[in-house]
Amino acid sequence: MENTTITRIENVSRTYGKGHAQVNALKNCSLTLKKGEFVAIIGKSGSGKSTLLRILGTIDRPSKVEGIETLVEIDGQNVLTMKDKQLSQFRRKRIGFVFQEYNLFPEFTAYENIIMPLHISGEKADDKKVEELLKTLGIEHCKNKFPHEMSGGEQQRVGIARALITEPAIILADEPTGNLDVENALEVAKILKKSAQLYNQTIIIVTHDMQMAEFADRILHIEDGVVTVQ
Amino acid sequence: MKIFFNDIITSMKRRRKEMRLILAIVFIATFFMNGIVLFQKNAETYTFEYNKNVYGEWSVAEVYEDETTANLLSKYAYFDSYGTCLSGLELYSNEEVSAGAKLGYMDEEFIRIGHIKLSSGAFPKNNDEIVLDSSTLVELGYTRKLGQNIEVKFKDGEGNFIAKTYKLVGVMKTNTCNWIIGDSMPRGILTQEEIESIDFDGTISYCYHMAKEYEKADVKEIEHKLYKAHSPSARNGEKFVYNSPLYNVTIWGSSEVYSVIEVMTLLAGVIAMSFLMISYIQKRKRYYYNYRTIGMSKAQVRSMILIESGYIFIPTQLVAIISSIVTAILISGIITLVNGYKYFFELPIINMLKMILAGILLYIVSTIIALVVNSKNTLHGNQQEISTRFLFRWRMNKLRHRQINRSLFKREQKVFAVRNAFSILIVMTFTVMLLIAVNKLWEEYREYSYYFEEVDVTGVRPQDTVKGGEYVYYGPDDQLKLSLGGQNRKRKSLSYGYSEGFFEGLKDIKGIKSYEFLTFDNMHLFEWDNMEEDEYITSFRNTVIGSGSVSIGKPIEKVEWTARWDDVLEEKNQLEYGYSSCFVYDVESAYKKVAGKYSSEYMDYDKFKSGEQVFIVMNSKFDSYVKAGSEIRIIVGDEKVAVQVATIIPRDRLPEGSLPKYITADTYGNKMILVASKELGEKIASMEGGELEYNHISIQLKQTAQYASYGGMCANLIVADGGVCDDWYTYYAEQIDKHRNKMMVYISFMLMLTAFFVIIRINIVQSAFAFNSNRIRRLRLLGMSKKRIKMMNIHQALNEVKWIVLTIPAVFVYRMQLLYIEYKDNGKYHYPGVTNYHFWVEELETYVRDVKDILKYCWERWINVRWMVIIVIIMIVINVIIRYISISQHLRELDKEGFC
Repeated sequence: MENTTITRIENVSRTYGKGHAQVNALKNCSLTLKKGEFVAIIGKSGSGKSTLLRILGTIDRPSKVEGIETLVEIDGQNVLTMKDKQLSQFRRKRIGFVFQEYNLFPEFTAYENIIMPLHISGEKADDKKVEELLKTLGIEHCKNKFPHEMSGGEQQRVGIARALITEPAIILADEPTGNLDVENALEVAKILKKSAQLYNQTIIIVTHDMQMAEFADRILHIEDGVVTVQ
Repeated sequence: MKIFFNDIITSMKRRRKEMRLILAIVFIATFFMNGIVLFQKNAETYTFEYNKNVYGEWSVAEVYEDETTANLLSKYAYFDSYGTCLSGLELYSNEEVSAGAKLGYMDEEFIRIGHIKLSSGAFPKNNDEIVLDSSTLVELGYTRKLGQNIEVKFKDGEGNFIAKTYKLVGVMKTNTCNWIIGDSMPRGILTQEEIESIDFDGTISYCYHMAKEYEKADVKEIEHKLYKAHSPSARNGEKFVYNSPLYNVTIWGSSEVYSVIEVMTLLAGVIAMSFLMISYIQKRKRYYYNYRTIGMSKAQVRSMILIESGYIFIPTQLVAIISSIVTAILISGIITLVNGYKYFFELPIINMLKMILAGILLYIVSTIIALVVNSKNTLHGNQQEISTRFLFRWRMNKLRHRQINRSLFKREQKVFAVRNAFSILIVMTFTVMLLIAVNKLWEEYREYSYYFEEVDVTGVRPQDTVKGGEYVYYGPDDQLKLSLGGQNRKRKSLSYGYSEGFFEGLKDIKGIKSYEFLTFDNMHLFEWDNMEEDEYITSFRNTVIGSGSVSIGKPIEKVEWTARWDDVLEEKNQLEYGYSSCFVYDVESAYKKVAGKYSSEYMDYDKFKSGEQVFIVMNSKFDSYVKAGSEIRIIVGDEKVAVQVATIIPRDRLPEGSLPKYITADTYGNKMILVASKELGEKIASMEGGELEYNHISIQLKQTAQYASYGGMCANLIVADGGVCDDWYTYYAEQIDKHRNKMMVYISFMLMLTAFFVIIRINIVQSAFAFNSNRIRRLRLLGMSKKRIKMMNIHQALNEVKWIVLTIPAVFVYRMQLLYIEYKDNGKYHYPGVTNYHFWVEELETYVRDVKDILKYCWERWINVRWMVIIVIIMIVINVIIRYISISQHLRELDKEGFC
């Protein structure tokens, strides 16, 4: 783990709805993450974990609060100033997502799912690299299988492979082991940890699972939209 | 870009099952829309061909009284041929009674252009041969048997009768009587040589056939130009006309209606397709979000949706356009083959362009609408609803299933409320509207079929031996009525009808339950004191009806009226058409019916029976000088017969069955009706030197009677006794065909629309499941059984019943309003139990029943509540099935994805 800052957010708030229905998902959060760091975010349901993850993943933007300057800096770039096309490109290259529900495209095979981020950029896949990834994650046999032909653990590994294919600087995982049995959950945790070490990637996972959180270098608690560092 | 495009196509190909449904909807919608464009045009061409059959395919005709006049228009390039017809020799029977038909000659071209057809035999080749139509044959007292000798009489130039005998070689169809120059057409055909050998003043008609290059030209305009060019000569002729019944017919009334229908269809298509695309995007939202997380930009997502939409629309629409054209070609071909018309299918380039343009519009507009509606959630990937808060709460608080149900569908209802309600409302509205239309057609079809199949009065074919009569099905009583179609008015005598002896013959016919008869007459005028000041007469003056009869309908212009009024009043000092009288045979029964309901102090059965008293039926709205006890004088030649008014029967308050049926019926066609005993009729007839005969018969056949045979016997008896009536056979046959075809079209539309909207509904329900997918999945994870989830959905489907039920009153109100307008504007409506129409006289409003009455009538006659209930139940069941099948499928898919 290097000492370089990869992500820095300052004074980030996010509210949903209006009036009585208004929910303050994040309240004035500030956070710094280092390159190669494995961070776990834990908190109750509705505490703002997923919102924080979406903002870190540039999928969502913080709410504007009058008089407070907000900053979301990833890999040295302020993503809040970027336009959608630029942001999408940035996301494609620098950020990888792993989801609890795997979020694979059911009509595509494992191989096609993995190379999809490259196709979106109009790039051709390096088959050697894909093979290597499949081997590393232990899913070579799943290459031509459709998601419904695979187990949960296999699907999640395909999801991780898809996140890794563009060699992103950050991997965001939203309860990646939520739908897996203990054995597979441990395996996924190991893979992510290994990946962080191998590719010097920053891994941020949102989880309920303390066993999973124990793999992390750092655990952040989030409660009612406020981040507390452990 | 190519890789990106390939991936989209691969994805769609692999989602074949999901795509199949969407493609089917797009196909049906496009097919339906194109069907309307094709139907509109080809219904017009079909009608044109149909009309050619009836009215001939000539375009312009010259008709001259002077047969030596040369044809003037043959030199014009507008026409490629013309036919000649000579007519005018009036036919008489052996008894020297006019048969109401003329003899003449038609050349081959005229026969071809005029579509003059024979139902049997051939046109005459020899001078001793004749062709007659069936009505004239009956008038002359002959059957349709070919080869028999027909003895006819006609008058020579000096007015002397000449008798001649011809051999019947053919029986002609009588469509020419419908022509605009029908009165100049012969109903009996001889050879040219034979007709020229007879000295008579006739008319000569030239009918011109339009040359191919002018087929699409404005015939009316051409005729106008030609008339202008030849006006000095044309003025000598009787007529110089174009074939307006052929050319003036438009299916929907005007070309504006065409456009409105097309625009409405396009709009309906766009709405439906937008729903489809909204649902499609909703269902795919999760995947678009996934694409966004792996780096797809908003623009790329939009492009992807456009490509997907294009892949859905473009090939499907092409297939639908081709299919609709092929179907239309096939249907036209079948109709052509069956009816023997010229092939009428047409696809103008403009219609082809319309179809393509509609397809492009459908694709672009619906995709853009769907994109705009879904933009926020799809492009920003807002998955806030995925939050587990709700399920967590369920687990923690142990909520009951009903509460989960409410909670689960609450969001669905919020997001899909409009689409949910709208789709059900549309399904129901269209279905119920079409059902009402089908029911109306069915009722009419049933009636015409009844005339045609059940009450075949000839025993063979009505046209063979009988010229119809009016057969009216009264409904539950299964009563048959025969009317001799205004015979008395035609003969202008009380002494022409059926004698009492004739009715003895009816007694021998077993199937007859009862019969009543009377003499109806509107030749004898009556007067009363202070008549000129009478409000009744004043109101009549203000609304004298055009074309010489009160029974025809609309008030004419004041100026026309003044001219007419002067003619009538000054010359005859009476209003000929304002009055009629009924002389009833069954005096006692008629008296009892009236006495029971409209009694007055003057009523005396003996006086009524002897003809000293009469009843007067008139509108109670007017304060007339005619009251019970007043004297009415019936004018018989130079004499007057004074009678006392026993009672006034208010015409506008006549309850059904209050009078013999014929009196009730005729009441509505006349301003004032006098009901008297047969004795009075006999007295008047004898004053005119004749004997009273009866011209109206109402026969009730027994419920179990064999209508065809017993009706046939009645009819044969009537014909044998010299009955005169019109030929209704062809009309009924046409009506049956028309109603059957219309019903088939409506039912097809109903099924197609219902199927179309049911598919849309499935799509919406499935979208809702996709929307709630995470919740359903988590419910499963938390241990809720599939059965329970299915039950929750059935409960929700039953919740939606309110939309189905809510539609019905709105549709009823709308439909009833349409029916009311239809009847009101037509100026007449058929009242149950009454054989005649009510007539609308705007200023007087005397013939109009209350709105309530019209609506009650419409309700009873056209709204079938039983069918409505059945359709509501069917729709509820369909809705439940849609939800059940959809959730089952969704649960299966979740299982497959390994989420549960």
